[in-house]
Amino acid sequence: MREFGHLISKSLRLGLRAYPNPSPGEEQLVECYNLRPSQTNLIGHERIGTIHFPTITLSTLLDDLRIYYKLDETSGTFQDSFGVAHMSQAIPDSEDETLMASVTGIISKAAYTRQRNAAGSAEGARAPYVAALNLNNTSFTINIWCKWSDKAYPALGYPIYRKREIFNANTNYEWGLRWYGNSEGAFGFRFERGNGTNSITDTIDASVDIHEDTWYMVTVTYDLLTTTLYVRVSNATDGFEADSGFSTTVSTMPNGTEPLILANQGHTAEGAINFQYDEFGIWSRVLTLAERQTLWNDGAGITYPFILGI
Amino acid sequence: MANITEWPWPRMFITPYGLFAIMKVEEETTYYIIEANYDGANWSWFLAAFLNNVGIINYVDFADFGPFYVLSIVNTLGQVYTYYRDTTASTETLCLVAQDAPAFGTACNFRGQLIGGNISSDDAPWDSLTSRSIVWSAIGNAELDPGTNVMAGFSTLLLDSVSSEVPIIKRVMPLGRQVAVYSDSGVLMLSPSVQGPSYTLGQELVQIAGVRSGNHIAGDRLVQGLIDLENKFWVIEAGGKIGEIGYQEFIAPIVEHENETIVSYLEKDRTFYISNGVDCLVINQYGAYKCHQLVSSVLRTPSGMLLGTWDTTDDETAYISTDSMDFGSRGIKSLESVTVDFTADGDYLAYVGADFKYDGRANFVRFRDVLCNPEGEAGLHVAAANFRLRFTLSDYTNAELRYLLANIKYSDQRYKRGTVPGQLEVGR
Repeated sequence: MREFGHLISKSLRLGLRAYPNPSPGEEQLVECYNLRPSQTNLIGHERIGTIHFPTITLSTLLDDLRIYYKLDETSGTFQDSFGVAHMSQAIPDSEDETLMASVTGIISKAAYTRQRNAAGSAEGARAPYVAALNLNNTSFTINIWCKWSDKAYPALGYPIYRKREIFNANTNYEWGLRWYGNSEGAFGFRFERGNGTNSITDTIDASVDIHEDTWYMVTVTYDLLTTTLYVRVSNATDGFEADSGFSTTVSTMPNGTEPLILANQGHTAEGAINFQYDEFGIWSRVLTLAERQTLWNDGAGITYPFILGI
Repeated sequence: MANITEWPWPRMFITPYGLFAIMKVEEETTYYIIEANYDGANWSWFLAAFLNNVGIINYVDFADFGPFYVLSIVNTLGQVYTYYRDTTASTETLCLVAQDAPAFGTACNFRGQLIGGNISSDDAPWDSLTSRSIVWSAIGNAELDPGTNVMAGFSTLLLDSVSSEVPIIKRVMPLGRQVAVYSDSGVLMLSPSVQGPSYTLGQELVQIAGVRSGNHIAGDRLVQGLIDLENKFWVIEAGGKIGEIGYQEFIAPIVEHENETIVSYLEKDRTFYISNGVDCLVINQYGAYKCHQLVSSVLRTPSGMLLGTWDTTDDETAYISTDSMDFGSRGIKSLESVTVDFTADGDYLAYVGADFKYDGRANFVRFRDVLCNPEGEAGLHVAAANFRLRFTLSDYTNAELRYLLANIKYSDQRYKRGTVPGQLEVGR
């Protein structure tokens, strides 16, 4: 018997050998045989088992999300976790105005700033205009967690977030939320709608009794169909604000290209007030009650990407 | 049951210290980075990151140092992203931290040293580095700035531009006492060189055309396999041995498909799985075959279980075709029958067939498959100059093939000069 060749088959390495002595016109036997030393699974391959990956449940809060700031960065540069509207710290003209995540937040760290002690304008952090920031002609939800301490009379109030250039009072005002002192001198939240030029046309006050060192989740929703603007405030004392809230009807938000500014400090203050902000998000729809409840999460909050379970 | 949801995801990545998984949210450019653990019976998972701002991931690398690991990502636009986690300092979920000073598209643990390739950074001293550059850390830490630690450094590699304006390093991988650098313009081996307090990596070019993608290389610290720019498969071993395996006629249709081709490696039998989610070629040290499992990653557990991420063609037919054979005669001969010795499980049907041609320049013609009788023999009765024998089994489970026996009748003696084959006493 003589082996006279190896073949690399499409499927296996085979040997080829001929059996001897065929006479002319007779059959010759040619054998292909497998060279693999193991006699197991010569055909095909070892079957690969399956890995059962975890099921990760995401909230519907990812739907129609525009921007989301976790406000965890200690650098003062805040990343938009969802989009590209990243915030950078701007005009920190005194140490007191430095906005950075240096304190414990509702989740991880929170952006922290203090009211300046001198007159003038400064700001915490800003995101230059991107299309995702434009809330004109759409329903929307803006959600942020806030906390303050060292209470002082808020005077004209302190903007929490505002879509308006800060350094010139004549710049276009689109919308914003501020800490606000009501007529009784108590703290509350005021959402403002600007007219797109330089003045405010509508305000809605969430006149709730606000306590120091308490995290508040302030949710602003606007329904384009009903033109109804809601401000709802949830806190550790009163729990989750469900169907009630402070509402008014306003026309759609102005169509402008102003930057989004977090914690701008535009006014003279008396004494120091510590402000903290966390988990700031904007959606281009009205979040459902269940979704707002998910954001509240029994007062513990939830952060992007809103994972409900793994 | 297959677990691929969107080719090639999810995928598993095995390092000397652990297991990692990347899952993709279907129809979204959103990925989960998961640290995995398998105790022999159950999986546990730690969600390290949720990434939705890295575009469509093309390939990833994990440089694992045990308590610290680095993840590098390249997306389909060629943009690079780097993340790291200190597993003792960061214990909350979603704790992966982005790194951009510098960011690199590929990374590895080379004997306790972090090596990064395909650099992107706006920060000094790495701002002049490009896709053909590498960085390396001090040993035992991730300090990459040579101004802080003299052992750290960076270099732009001696790669000639072939397929891109600036060569792009696709993968860096430890290989024995060297670092293998796979680029689209060639393959380099880097060797450590210590001169006094300074440290650098010497460069040696390997005679292999470059690679198209970081997914076209797989292996461990001893053996690595790659598909080169000409679709040839190569194996490089620690110590410098290089072997051209070939198979480009099978690899080319896989690589040229619009789906990304993934090469996965299994240490046993030096097995490389090459798949694009439609077809899968398996190359091991004995040869090559195609299989119904379309593999995007594979691993063997300490208990010996072979696990992986794969899709399936659902075709579990066993099929063998030989290469072209003329049985030692250029004349027309008759393939009368084929006898097969095989065993298999369950209910199966076994067929024998042949492809044939008369003209060496012509393509093979498919001859019918004939059902084998219970003894494993089937009559074909086809005459031609060249044949390719085929054997088909309807289910490959536990199938064993011992031999194929072809019965050939030499009826055409025109090309015989002198004695006929029988007179040659072939095989004696």
